Amino acid sequence: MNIRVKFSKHGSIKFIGHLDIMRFFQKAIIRAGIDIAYSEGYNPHQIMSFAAPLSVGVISDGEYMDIAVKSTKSSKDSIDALNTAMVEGVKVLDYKLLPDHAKNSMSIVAAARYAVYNKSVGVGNINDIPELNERINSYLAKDEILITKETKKGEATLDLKPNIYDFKACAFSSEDEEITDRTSLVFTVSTGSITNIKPELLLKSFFDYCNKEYVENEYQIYRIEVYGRDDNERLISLNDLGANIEYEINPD
Amino acid sequence: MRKLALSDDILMSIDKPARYIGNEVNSVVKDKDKIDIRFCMCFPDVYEIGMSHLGIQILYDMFNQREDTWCERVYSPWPDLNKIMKDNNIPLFALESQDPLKDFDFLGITIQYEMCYTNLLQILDLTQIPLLSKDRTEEHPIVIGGGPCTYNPEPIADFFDIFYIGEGETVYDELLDTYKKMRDDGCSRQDILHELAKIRGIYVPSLYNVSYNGDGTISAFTPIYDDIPATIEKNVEMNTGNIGWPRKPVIPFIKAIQDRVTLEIMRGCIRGCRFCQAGMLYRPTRERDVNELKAMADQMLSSTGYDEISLSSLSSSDYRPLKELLDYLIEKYNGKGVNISLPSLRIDAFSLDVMSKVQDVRKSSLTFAPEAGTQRLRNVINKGLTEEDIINGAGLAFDGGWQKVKLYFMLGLPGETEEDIKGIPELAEKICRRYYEIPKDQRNGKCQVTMSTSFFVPKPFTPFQWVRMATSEYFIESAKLVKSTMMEQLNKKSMHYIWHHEDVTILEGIFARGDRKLCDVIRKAYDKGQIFDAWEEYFKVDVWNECFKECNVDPDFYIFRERDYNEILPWDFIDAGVTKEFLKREYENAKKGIVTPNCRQKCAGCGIASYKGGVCIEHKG
Repeated sequence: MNIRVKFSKHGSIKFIGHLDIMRFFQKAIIRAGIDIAYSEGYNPHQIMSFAAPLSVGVISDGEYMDIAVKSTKSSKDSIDALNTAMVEGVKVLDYKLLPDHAKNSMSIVAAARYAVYNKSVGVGNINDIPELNERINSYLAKDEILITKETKKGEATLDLKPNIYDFKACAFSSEDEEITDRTSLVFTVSTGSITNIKPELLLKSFFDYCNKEYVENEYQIYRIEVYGRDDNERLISLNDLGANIEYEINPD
Repeated sequence: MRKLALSDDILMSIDKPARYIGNEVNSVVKDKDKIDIRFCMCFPDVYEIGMSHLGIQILYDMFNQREDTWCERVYSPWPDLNKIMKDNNIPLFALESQDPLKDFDFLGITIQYEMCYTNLLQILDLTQIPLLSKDRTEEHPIVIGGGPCTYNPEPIADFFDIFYIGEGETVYDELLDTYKKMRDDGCSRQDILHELAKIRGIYVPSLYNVSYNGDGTISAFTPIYDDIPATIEKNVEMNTGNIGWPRKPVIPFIKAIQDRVTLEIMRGCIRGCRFCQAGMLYRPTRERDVNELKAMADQMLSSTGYDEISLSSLSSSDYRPLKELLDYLIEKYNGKGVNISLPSLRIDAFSLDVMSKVQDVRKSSLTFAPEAGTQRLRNVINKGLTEEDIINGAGLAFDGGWQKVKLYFMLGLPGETEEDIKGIPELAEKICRRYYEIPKDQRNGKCQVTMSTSFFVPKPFTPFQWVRMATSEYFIESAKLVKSTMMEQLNKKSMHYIWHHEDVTILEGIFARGDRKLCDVIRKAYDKGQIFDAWEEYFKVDVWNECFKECNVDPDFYIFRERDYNEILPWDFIDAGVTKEFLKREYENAKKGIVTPNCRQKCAGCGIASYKGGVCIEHKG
């Protein structure tokens, strides 16, 4: 049985890198008593994979991990058990059964949605939202938005425009981060193995367009959600590809 | 949500910010308002090393069981953050609360190796408290040192208010209770230190005077008060049921050097190798109850979720219920997602059988520690491992499919000759020949025998505490001789030789048997920017040489001098349980090449029997 676990990362946990979060979950799963399946071989390891890795410094409400289990409790009980094994800043939000033969989250990631705000600006500073949206509209109205992207083979030119699915400025709030109505840039961009647009790429390009310098540490990047595509090629939250488990399942 | 001591900007600009944010699984957070004593435990090296240390985990668990005490942790900020903290005047903080250490009641530092001495000063300096004990006042935490280096605390005596000599399980409650009562009664720092000095194993260096002879040796070492002991007796936990263990080990987010559950099966060692300080300090040998260990293993694995467990002791093959313990762990965990990592065991049929169950034979290597190249020199150092043991052990292993062997040696042992040095590759050659006795169609290519040498450092409380240490030049020449002799061997292509730099070893030798005069040198080195001397990239021999010169301290006095039995040694005021008479006897035996049997074969009368426990009473029920 394959399970998709959705979790969030807040506060100081943003300084823990992707591989260390994986190691954290490997142990947490044992502490929570999840009946995880192991690979064959001399040193069996847990069958586990993560969707789009998150950069250090980024916080998120939409992280996904797929695991294989031999048996499982209900979604609610499993979420509770996992949350007793978490630390401050990591919260398990969902635990869903995937259909048989579902592709793992890593291979189906198509897009991710982000909010980006200035770390030092106080609350209520929303006056410039209409102005920002004007700029965004004229930025998106260009025929093409060319950027240079560093790849393994050197630099390559890429048109951002078809990879930006939506982009606007709005007031953004997050209880976990203790922010209210923070002026933010919110956008959805292509993510995953085909075209991976890191949020910084769009931010740099947009700031350039506005003749401003994008100073990385001044802004907080906040991942809101990660998407795959449904049968009609529409973006769908990775979470919606699984189903809640009402009762314990034990195939033995 | 917890507020961090360091800004986002700083954390994003340094290597591995996870070293400084705390919040690890099983770390303890308490309500400050309900706490009487704030204690911070420090390992003065980088986080990944400090987090691998079992001792801190034990003390952390022990202190936090006290309702009135909150024990937190701190490690040395790496040079990148060190600079930022100094430039921006950011005080060093505890990981859990992120509060500045300068407001704590105690800063406890474990001192595991001499090369961390400049890091001690880094910690004090970043904490923003005076480096010297004499300059501290009521507003500063009491700085306590513990760990193996405190068996000669004199080179760092000026920097500490207190040293705790011996095992932490015994008198910390008494120490904390006394402190709390006196502090609440409004007693002065001086009065508190004076009172604490009366507790067993507690050494307050400022309360002892040292005077010197014209030649620099010590003429007298005396307490300044009549009511504190002239001799400090080490603390030992004689009830093995009370030996601490971390019920919920703190799990680092980033990979530590030891990233697994560590199960301490035994304290002490019966072997009596004459070069080994740990073997003398941790006497008597005390085995933990096997059923307790099984329960501890289960508890620690389930409270952490670790996928690996390792056994820890000075000589695990001497733990008598080892088979029962390993059978239990293998039966319960092997192949079920938990690896069992074995300590270095004596190589015999039993250990090979266990290894073949838990390791991939072709990938793993066998380790022998002959320490010396010839039987003659092994008798001098009382290493009870014979050439026959090694060749037979390796032979059994080769027959069982192993191909890799690691051999550990020391160069510069007392009485070492050219023959002994050449004996190192010659022993490797004999092992290779044993491998090639296996018919070609039954073996799997070449064997791989790796020789590794370190340089011998004489340590206090060993029979070699009086000896002259070998020079840098000698070390380099002897390492070359190993190499050139290896090149003359028939099977040189199956051999590797690894050796370590000698500069650091010399400094380690100076500190190991140093006295209070070295405090100035260490202070000077820190002022010149030395930290992380245990790290090759930060150790600068030239800077240290300058410091000795500027402080008018002759380093050769500490290392290149055979000490007289009548000399007062800087650590003589400590009673480590083994008597000076025993150490002298053992040194004389070494000179004659006489082997002393291990504690189970025959009591050597080292003096520790007066503690009435452990191996000393095994046969008496």
